[in-house]
Amino acid sequence: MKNRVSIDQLALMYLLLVTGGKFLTLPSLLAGDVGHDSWLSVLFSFVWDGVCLCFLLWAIKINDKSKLDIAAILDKSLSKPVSKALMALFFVIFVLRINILLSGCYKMFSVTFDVSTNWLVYVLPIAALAFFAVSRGFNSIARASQIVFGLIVLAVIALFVSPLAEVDFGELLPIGEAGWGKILLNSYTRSFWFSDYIFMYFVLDGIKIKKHVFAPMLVSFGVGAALCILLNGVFVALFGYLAPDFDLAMSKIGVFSAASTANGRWDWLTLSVWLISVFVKVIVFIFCAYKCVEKIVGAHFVKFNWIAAGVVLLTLSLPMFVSTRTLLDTVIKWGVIPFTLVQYLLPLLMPLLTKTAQRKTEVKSE
Amino acid sequence: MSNLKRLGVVLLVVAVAAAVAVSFKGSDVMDRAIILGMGVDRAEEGITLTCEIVSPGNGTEQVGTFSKIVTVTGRTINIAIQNIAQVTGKEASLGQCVVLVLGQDYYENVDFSDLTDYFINHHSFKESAVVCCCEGKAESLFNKGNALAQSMSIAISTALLDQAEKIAVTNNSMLQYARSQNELSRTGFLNRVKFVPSQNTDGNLPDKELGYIAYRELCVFRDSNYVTTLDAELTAGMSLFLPEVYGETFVSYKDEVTRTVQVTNKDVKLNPDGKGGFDAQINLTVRYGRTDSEEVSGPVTAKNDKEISQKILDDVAEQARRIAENYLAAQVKYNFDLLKFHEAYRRKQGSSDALSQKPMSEFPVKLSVQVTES
Repeated sequence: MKNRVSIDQLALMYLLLVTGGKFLTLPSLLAGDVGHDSWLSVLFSFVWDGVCLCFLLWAIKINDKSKLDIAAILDKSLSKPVSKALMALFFVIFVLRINILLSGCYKMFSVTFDVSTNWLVYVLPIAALAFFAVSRGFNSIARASQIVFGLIVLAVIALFVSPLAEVDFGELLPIGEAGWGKILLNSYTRSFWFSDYIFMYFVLDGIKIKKHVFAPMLVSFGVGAALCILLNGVFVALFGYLAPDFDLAMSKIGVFSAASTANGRWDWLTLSVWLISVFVKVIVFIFCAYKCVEKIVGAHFVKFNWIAAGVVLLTLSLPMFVSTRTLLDTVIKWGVIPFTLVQYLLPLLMPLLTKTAQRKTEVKSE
Repeated sequence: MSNLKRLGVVLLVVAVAAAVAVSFKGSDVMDRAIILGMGVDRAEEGITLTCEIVSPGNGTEQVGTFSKIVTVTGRTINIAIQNIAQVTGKEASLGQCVVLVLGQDYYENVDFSDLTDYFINHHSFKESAVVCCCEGKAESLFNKGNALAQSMSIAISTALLDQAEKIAVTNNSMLQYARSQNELSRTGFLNRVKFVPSQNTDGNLPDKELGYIAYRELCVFRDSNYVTTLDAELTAGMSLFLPEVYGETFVSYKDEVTRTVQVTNKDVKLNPDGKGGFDAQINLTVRYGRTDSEEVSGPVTAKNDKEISQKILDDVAEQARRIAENYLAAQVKYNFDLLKFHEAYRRKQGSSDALSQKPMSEFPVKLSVQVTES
């Protein structure tokens, strides 16, 4: 089965997804909201993510025997119309996240690397790669992630080490200066950037479980979360009042590499390698968006659903019509409320829904 | 799939790849004037910008070995940088710029917050680049490169980044300076460099100018406006409070012969005393200034026999206390906060307008200095 993936592969990929993309625009937005307490906002978001992830992993464990996919679970437990509505909501989230990630990378290419091109020419090769990966199955994406994993981790370490020597963590004091209520609220209003586990809904039927489910996934989650919290702390401690203005956090942090002064822009090389993790994330989300459309309109082709691919491809032109700032200030600002349904409520219900779907499947087969 | 179809697919992929490749408009390195360092001087209308440039592909030039000095003018820094293209025929690239020097007439008489804003928000310019002031014109300084027999930009940045902290001079980057002008007390400093001519003893080139860069002074700014210049002694006084900066040298005559003593390690505690002031404890570890290499010191270092008499240690402590007190008096007189007193209280109490506006005279400092032999 081309969508089969082992729990270890899933854990590695999850680590890339947790860190990929969170070092672009998010740190500056959080710094604008709560100043030097932004790392606390990230911490709270990850605490809630951790709880939801545990429930989702529990559902994965329950689903190990029956191997039902997300559509089957929702169809059987919540009815088909509700299932399709949830798929539509998932689709909107994935499309927005893909476009926000791609916009961040597009800006990085044009302003940091001084490579300019138009949106279509930028997006089409990425889309071609993503749809090729989709046609090969999720397994191929997972294997590719395994191959690049080591390189990306080395790049992230290289980018982090020098700023760590420069930073004075005392700048983060006093803790909670922005107000705990404001920080908690901020962790919710910026939740759009979190709950990366949502991609797992779309590979539920293909996860191979050997022994452990929780340990590898929680280790990956813990490492990824720690890296993101650390980066936010480093970012606001280094840049202070300037942090809200620096919307490409990773490219700014890299300039503190000692080698960049002595031997040229080493940071640009490591930054390029780190960007691979963002593209892995984009490809995974394109896979999920494709699956959403497939579930909504139904499978029309045996090998590759051209309709689903066409719909996803069309949505990639969104930044040509609406700016990222407008998306953030309108759709995403208000979208967090309905998105809560699939980001935070659904994972908590998944064990129950999976059991219900299993029971109904067994009754039907009897 | 037939061979004809396969060929068609391959041709299609090649055509698409070629179309995509030509649509990415990057800048060839040959079309770039890579700026190593910049100097800004005041001009009648706007600024004069002097750049040390390496231009790859320019016939006889070898990258990293030879550079040339280009001077342009412009009403703003942005226009001046654009004007470099007119002079060199190449697009200016700031990604490798390691130093920005402000000329004396410029930093003493112009509010240069627009310049700071420009560079801090520039996507290629590194926030970690060195920014400093210079005696006289920055243009004159950059044209002294031959006297140093090396790139002026690299000489200044190497001196300030690698050497300054070892001779009791602190340094500042663009980021630290920009933050200092916009946070809390809004005061900060930049190093001040100057070219010092030296005697030429080369018989083959008797007319060649020789010299070195001196960098033992600091300029103080508030809201991007010049406040004062700290001379070498005040700069050393400030450095006494900075644990990462060492190498202070003291001369004592107490043993009836002249003894030079160097600081090899220091432990500084500068903490709020809870009554609005500070307790400052400076513990210096010193040795005779006899060897070229630095001596190792610290709690796990092998013990050496003591050589320095208590009289000399007491004398050094007294000298250190005096220059530290002179520095503290200067920061009260000119009301600047380079030791981050306001920041120390912000970390305890949080930000407030009252704290930001608190004058330095309202931060009394209880100072104690101890000197031990390494």
